[in-house]
Amino acid sequence: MPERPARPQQASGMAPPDAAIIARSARDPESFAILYDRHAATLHRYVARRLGEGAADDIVAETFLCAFRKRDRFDPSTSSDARPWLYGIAANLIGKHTRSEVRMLRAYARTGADPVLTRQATSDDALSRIGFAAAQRDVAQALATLAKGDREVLLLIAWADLSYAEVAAALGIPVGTVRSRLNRARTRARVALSGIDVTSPREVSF
Amino acid sequence: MNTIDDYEWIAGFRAAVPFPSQARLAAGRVRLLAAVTAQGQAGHPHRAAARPILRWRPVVALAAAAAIAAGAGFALTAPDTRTGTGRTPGHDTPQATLAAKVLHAAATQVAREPAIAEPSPGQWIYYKEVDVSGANSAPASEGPEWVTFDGDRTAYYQVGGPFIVHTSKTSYPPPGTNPWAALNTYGISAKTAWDVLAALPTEPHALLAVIARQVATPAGEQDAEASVTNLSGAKQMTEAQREFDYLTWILWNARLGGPPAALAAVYRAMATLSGITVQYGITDAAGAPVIGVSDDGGYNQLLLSPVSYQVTGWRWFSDGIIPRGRDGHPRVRPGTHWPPRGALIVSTAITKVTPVAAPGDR
Repeated sequence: MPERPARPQQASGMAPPDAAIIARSARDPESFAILYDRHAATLHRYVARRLGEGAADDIVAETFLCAFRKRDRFDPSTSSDARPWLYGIAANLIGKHTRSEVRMLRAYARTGADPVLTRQATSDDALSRIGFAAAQRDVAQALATLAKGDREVLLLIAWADLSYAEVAAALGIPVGTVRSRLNRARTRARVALSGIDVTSPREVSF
Repeated sequence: MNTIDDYEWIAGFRAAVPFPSQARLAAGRVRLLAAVTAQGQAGHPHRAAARPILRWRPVVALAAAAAIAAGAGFALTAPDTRTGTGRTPGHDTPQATLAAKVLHAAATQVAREPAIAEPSPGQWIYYKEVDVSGANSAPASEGPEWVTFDGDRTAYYQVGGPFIVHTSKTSYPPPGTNPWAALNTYGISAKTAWDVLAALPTEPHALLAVIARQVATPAGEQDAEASVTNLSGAKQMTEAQREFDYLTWILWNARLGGPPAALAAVYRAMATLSGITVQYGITDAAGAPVIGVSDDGGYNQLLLSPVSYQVTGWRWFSDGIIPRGRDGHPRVRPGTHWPPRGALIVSTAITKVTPVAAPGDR
């Protein structure tokens, strides 16, 4: 999988980049809420995919509270984009729920019912029709067997859409470590998924 | 059995989880604002008030740092009008004479433009820009964005995600802020730039006297170092450079337009500054021919249309010197590859700026 290029700043043009918002919040603390408006939704969805919406409510709120309190530690020389920083904070908070995350993944793999998804969100009737439900259970099993650090890297790239460099910044690890963890995670996942029989993965549309 | 792309399976796993509703996010926002309020009452424990001013030059530097962090090489070359020292001679050189001519021509041209009425504060403005990073050979990225004239509201397409229209006001600068203070402190909205332009004297030296007072303030001095966006803050700047910097900041934020006489006055004032150079025969990030105007020998260039002389972009080249803070420490991550002197770091072209009825309109 080629590394995706760093994405352009979400706030271009005349809107200030995240780094400027954080700097400004030293003088005008309320402006920090702009970061919440920019990033809370995507961060919430990421956390919800891992732990469910209820946990996501708390973790996202805690992430921004923690970020606000530690905003003077934000390093703008790494990126003006606050996402790696925020996802790094969230990763620490998610890490406290590792056992719960693995338990839910295993439950899904065992029963086919995903504790993370609400009935409204699943719309898995179609999936079942084309035989993807079993595949999803295998994915859950594969994710459950990954080492915590490997899973973190894999999901930050696959779900949060961070680049390797951004993941490295988020987790405070070298880019080389990101690559090796990702490689290890994908190798394990590939093995776990090798038995899946699919007609065409491209038919999956969420 | 087909070959399975494990990455696609994982990327699609639980993709049915929806984005949260605004109501769902509201509770977290309330918690954040409560903490903000509490800390505001207690004072910030970590740091004296930083001046979050954004100027065109540091913004470019910051974008470059992000690009460099990605660890790629640089492809383009620097402009050939640059001197060996990165500084340029004064008024009596052919370069300075040419720069003065260009800037006077710019003043004449923009003064001819029909005046436009000042937009209402809530007027949505569509901005489209093209950015090219020197860090790799990736294609130019485009960043459409909608911002109200007063900068209170923004809208944009989240990368790979939905169209976001912020429902909460960003409120910069706060209502009632003196425009001069606003520019020196917040420096963001098109309305602020308009208000400052409208308040400027139209005689160049009188205008520069006003600007000189702004850049000479202790706050202005603090900006150079305290702003996190200023990676080159520790570099010594001449008074002329500070004034040029300030004027470019006004022009950059007046991309929609401004009072023609005031815009002309800014160009005429720039023409009186020492050390200004221009470069012809260059193109912006969108490939359009432009004129580069610089106060540092071409490392940072404000790009003007050779026809309308309006601001159409900027670009920044490395001087090969790793930015350092006043404490002497590099302001980039250890091990960062800083591009060699003359390497393009980033170039931004403004391809469209126009008032629109609603966010999303183009």
